[in-house]
Amino acid sequence: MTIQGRQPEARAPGSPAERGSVSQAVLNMVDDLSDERDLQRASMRATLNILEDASEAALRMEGIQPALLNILEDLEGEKTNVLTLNNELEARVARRTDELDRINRNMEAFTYSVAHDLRAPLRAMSGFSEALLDELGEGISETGRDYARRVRDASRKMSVLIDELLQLSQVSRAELHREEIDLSSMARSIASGLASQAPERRAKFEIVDGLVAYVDRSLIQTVLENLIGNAWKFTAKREMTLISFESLPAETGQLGFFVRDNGAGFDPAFTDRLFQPFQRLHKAVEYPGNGIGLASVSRIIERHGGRVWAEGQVDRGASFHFTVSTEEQLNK
Amino acid sequence: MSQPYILLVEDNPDDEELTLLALRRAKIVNEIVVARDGAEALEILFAKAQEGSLPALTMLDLNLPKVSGLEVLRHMRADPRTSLLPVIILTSSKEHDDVVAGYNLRTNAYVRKPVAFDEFAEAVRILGLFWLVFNQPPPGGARGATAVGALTQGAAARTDG
Repeated sequence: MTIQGRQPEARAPGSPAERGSVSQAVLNMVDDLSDERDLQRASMRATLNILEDASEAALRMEGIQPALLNILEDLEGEKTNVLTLNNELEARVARRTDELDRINRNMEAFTYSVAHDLRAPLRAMSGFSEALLDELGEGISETGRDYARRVRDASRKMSVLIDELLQLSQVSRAELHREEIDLSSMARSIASGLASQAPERRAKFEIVDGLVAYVDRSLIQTVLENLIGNAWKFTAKREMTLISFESLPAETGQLGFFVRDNGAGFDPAFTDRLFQPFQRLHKAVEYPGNGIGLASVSRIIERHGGRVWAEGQVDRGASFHFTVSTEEQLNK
Repeated sequence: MSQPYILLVEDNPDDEELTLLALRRAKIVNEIVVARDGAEALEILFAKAQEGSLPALTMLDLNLPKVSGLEVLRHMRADPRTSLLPVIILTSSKEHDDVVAGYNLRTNAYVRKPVAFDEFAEAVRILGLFWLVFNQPPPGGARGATAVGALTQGAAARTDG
């Protein structure tokens, strides 16, 4: 397309020369107009083309529409399926929760009856063996007396075992109420309690200040009582008892603590058995205990999202380490 | 008025015998009336109250046939004649719920029976000494007639040993 711009001749009309230039101008204008028409035609054609294309697109769209509707319908079906599945799942979860609740309640009832019903016969064994001794008076031999004493001691021991089993189950069932706890001051009061019970012992406690953790108060108390109590027990034969409570080095990237002592230690080959209930690495006459303490510690730490491990050598002391999850980790 | 009695509510015959033995050892001379379930305890309690006789001390087991120990305590606290009487819960259970329920019903003490007999006998002796001798009973309640000398001498002997 060409657009020609022509300047009209600037002459007054009338003269032949003027007329000539006027007609020339008209011609020019007509010429221009025909150019315009061409343009219009071209654009009309283009518009028609576009319309044609659009109608093709519309046809195609019409073809697509049912497919889309089908897909939507399918989606609707899927949605219903998902909803049904969801409902089923929820129902199943509710059923399982009910089941678990029932099992828990049974467990509670069982624990209760263990506590109540097993203690009564034990009390009878202990009481009547003693009453028997009284009845027989001087008429009983030294051996007979010894046997009666054994009955009494055994029933007492069994009652301690029952209590500790109950404690272990309590530790597993108790609800966790986590809060910020000052472990340093807790450790210090446990240590001073132990030291005051045996003022004749020479002991040094090194407890690092400001150790805090986000834990259950009464359960972590059990952990520290057991670990520091064990350290105290297994250092009884040392001239100078050394017990420390510190945090794990920062480069481990974990919130953790350890109790170290200079006591009897243990054979590292048996490390795994330390945390099993009723497993003991030392003779009961040497170091009394029922082997339930570290099992409780292990369960409590597990419930706090941490782990527990021990390091030691025979006669060269032991250290017990534990980690706990932090408040930030819990809130993730 | 007849001598104030001790009401022992206990369903286990072994525990009953051991408690009686422990009370005898403690030289407690009050009459001891045994109820073997909660219903019997309430019957005895209110029948005797009708005659003007109230227990100086009630030793109450919790796990009882028919009417539980806590129910017995609830009835006692609800009746003006018995509401202030000293009651000791003496049981095998130290379940949190039982302890709380006991104190909510204004038990005067909650003692878990020790398994070892010497400890059990000591607990019964101290309880008798405290509740029948040293404690000032509520108005209208009866003070225990006890061999005070025997009880306190026992205490002295133990501190020496």
